[in-house]
Amino acid sequence: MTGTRSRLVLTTVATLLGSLLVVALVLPTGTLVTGAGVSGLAQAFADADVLQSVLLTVLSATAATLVTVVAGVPLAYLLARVPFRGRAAVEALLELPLVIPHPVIGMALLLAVGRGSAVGRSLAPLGLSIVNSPLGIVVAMLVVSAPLFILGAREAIARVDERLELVARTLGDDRWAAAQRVTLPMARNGIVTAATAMWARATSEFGAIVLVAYHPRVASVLAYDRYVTYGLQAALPVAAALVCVALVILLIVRASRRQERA
Amino acid sequence: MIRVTGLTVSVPQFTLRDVTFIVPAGGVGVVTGPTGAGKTTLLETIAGVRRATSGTVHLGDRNVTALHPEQRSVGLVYQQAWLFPHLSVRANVNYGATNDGTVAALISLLRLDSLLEKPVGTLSGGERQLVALARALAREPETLLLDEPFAAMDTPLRGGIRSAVLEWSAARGCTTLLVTHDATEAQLAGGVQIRIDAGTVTLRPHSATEQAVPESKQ
Repeated sequence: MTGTRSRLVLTTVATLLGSLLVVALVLPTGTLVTGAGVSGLAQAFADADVLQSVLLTVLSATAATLVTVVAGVPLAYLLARVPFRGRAAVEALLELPLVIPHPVIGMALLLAVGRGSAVGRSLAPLGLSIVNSPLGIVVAMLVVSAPLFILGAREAIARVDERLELVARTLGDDRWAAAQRVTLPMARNGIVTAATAMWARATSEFGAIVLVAYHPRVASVLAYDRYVTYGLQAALPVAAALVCVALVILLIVRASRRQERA
Repeated sequence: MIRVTGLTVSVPQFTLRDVTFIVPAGGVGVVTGPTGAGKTTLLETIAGVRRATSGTVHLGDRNVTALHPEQRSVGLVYQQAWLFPHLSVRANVNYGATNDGTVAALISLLRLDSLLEKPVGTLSGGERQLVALARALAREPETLLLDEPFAAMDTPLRGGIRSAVLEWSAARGCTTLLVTHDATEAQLAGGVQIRIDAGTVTLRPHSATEQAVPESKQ
């Protein structure tokens, strides 16, 4: 009897605490969307600047993700499979952007690849610039979100039993052929999920981008710009539209995870 | 021929020490011993899947100690089969196959016709072992390393498959090393008998020929 009562109390407390947390998470964005209303959302999606910024955001995030996948899969494989001196240090360096405030990453990028840097000076004759350009947006998105892909892909590869790869090698494959024919196909769903998570993170990036490329404006920078220029009410439709876009992105991520589990 | 000389291999929490034996070319060696004795480690080291700490492995007239698995011409079959789960049975058998004729003969020999288009995940333990045997033999290796590959098969099937596999290997001059827990199977397989216990060869085995004398250096 006492056990049943304590279980009931625990369940009630857990439900109450969980409900409070859900409300705290949903309340701000819910208020924002209802504050804008249907007419506000329609107005936002008819706004050429909003549409352009959403398109720029999606394309830049896609470019950053594609570049990271091409360069990141071999790196993830090395980290998962090949022991080498300094591997822990490399992993720590890769995780660093996840714990550094993103405006700080923006500052670091301005120093490393900005106009005054060696990279910036060498790009100038080619008519390219990192600062205030789509290239800069892609670079900022890549630096802040690539660790999510690399770490996720490394885990996906590590989950494939290495013995399968070793059996493939007794069947004539060298290490890279075995990786291509056995390990990577088996890790494919995990790699796709990691890429989707990276892409979703890149689309919501603000802190690094706002320093590196205020123009052209990605969606998050546009919402911020409307807020500081015209105030909260004027920024509401844009912000609400971005919440809707983020919701679609989240649904895509969840669908890809369901696919992985299946 | 398999010639293992002074082989020492360290794996986490276990060391296979100073193992020496010879299995003559085209012959059969049988490795027995309790669970955890180091039988699988020995096979994996001969296959090149694990690196030897010291000692040498010769396959045929080649010192393969420093070679990668794909350079050794070995077929390795585990008790767990380790089939590629993202491929069909047919794709598994064809994975490293040298020619279609060999694959067709093996499919017939191991009675795999009805399994070919099945997903690997639907196979029973015995069926998985049959596919793993076919996959390894389809490569036509010079050395066949079998780690209890018949253990999950039904008793009536087991003897026939064991004989068929050993005859197939012998007919092609392939040297075979078979790990088994089964004393009857060890006797039936014949050849060089090697007993491993706690990482060392503890029983000096008898041999049919003077050339095929396995010995412990303990």
